[in-house]
Amino acid sequence: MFNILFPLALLSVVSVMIIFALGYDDTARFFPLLVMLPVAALLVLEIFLELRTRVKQKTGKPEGGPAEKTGLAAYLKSQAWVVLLLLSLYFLGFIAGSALFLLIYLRTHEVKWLYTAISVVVTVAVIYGAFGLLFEVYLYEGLLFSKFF
Amino acid sequence: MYTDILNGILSIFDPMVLLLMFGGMVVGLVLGILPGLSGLTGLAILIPLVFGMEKTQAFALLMGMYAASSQGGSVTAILLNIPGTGPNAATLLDGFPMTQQGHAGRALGISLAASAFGGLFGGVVLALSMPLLRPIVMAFGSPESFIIVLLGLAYIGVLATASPLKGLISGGFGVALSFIGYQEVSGHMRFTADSIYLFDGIRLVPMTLGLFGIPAAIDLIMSGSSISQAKIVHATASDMLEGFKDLFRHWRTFLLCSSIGTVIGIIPGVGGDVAAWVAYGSAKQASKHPEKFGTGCPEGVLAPESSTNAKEGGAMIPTLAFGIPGSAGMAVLLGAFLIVGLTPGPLLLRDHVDFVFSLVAILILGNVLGSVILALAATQLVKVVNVPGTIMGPIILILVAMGAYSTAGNILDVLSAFLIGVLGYAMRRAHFSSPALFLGYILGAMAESYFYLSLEAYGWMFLMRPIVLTLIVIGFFSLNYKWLGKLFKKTGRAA
Repeated sequence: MFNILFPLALLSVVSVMIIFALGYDDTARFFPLLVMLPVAALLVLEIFLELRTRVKQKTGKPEGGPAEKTGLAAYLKSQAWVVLLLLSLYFLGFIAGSALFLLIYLRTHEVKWLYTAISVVVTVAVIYGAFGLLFEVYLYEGLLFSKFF
Repeated sequence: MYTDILNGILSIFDPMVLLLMFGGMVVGLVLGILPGLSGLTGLAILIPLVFGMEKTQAFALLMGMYAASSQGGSVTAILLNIPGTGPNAATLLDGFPMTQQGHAGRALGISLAASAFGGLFGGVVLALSMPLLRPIVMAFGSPESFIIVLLGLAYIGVLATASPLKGLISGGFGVALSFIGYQEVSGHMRFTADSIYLFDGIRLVPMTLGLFGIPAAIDLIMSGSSISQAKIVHATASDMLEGFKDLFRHWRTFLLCSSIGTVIGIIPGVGGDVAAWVAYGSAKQASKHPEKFGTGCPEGVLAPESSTNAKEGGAMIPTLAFGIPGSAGMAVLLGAFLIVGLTPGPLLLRDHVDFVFSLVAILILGNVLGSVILALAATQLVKVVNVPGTIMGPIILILVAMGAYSTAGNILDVLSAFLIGVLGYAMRRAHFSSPALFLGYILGAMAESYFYLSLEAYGWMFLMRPIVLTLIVIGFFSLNYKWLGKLFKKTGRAA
């Protein structure tokens, strides 16, 4: 199913871009249309071919077997961690946010306290020492610290 | 003349010069290993330090750092699937699968040998081409750049031989993404949805890290197993030596890709990304086993690495001869020339031959020593691939976030990298080609700009310029020579 949904999603993005491009002047729209119209056509072809393959292979099996469902659950779980990281970085900044995220992640996955502590210290040291001190990257301090402290 | 050349080369063996070069190289290697930071960042940091320094010392520090930075980026590309810089993205296509198969040491050996010898190749070409600099550089204008970029785009088809249709869609979608933002020619804002963040388009670093680094981290998180997939990987001296031997086994690929890198380096504004991908595509086309590319093929590591490092020698040519920087790094170095009281151009080549040859020697030594330092550190660095995915996955995510943020100091870049990461992961699941998308994204807008510049300067006659025609013919044959070979054989047999 994903092999059809993904090109469909791409097709919708490309279609929106084509509609936008039609509103630009000749110089601004020439290249985008030159590229995106064939891409849209190829996407339609890809969806058609995928549908045809599925119809041919149809053996009466129900959609989304247990393996596919487990894969989807694992993917959604990994995405939840990604969202948690983004939120912790946004609110707590790079130092505190990274440390907290790593601590929660590793402990949730039952990593030993010693390895958890080493991982957190090394990661914070790289961010603060290498990025912050050595290469003078301004480290975002997070919404919480910048607003309230 | 010859005394000047000899003096220039010998001047870099001054202990202070060597010490500064070593310091610069260590900074460069660390910069390369840290995602998002590049040699350009290093130049910006180190330039204030060169005020008051003697010119050879100043350039030993700067160029030592610059030469070593791309080598550091290859290490993370090979071991962690995180490209340190744009050109390193081509290295991970085969470097990372080699690591997963337990050949990390060999992949690092190939990468380091190709970097060292690629740098040597670029430096030697730079030295030999001094008397010919002017006609070489003047021969390349926007029409030639357009054709080179177009040739790079044509390699999308070469990158995605497993599923050409999906490859073309991926590449085309990448090109479409490159159009987001301000169009230089018309001044139009395109596809920005009035978001100020998108006025500059999607930035390169979040794109690179998101497309390649995040899917790798998600895989680790989902599987929980190490990058080496439960095999314990070591990088012994014999593994590295094997990689070193690969360079000589595939010497034709090395020469081809180093030459491509040098020529592309000469052309101002085209850049290292193009060099790495064109070299990768050409190596795949020329290989007897193109089907092995992308699965952990030594030539796939050799090609981008040799071209990326050879490119810097080429990029020095227009910088020294005309004060026209061949790359962003060279533009910053141009500032350093002025700081030490030198003005790049024909007079520099006439009045400071010794210094120019010092630069060539620094460039060569920087590449060679950078590889030696990394080779010594490789046995320890490679241990990272044995760390369980449960620990490595979240650390990679954090480093990717930090890397995406560090270039522009914009927190939205982190979000951008993660959204691109979701796209990259979805592409992988649906068997679309991330490298083809990346190539399209790098080259799309560049092709458009060069096209309009050429059209404005020469009209449609730009297609009739001798070098343009030559490049078109070379491109046609290099892309189709296998098919043409078969055709000629058939015709020969029929006759």
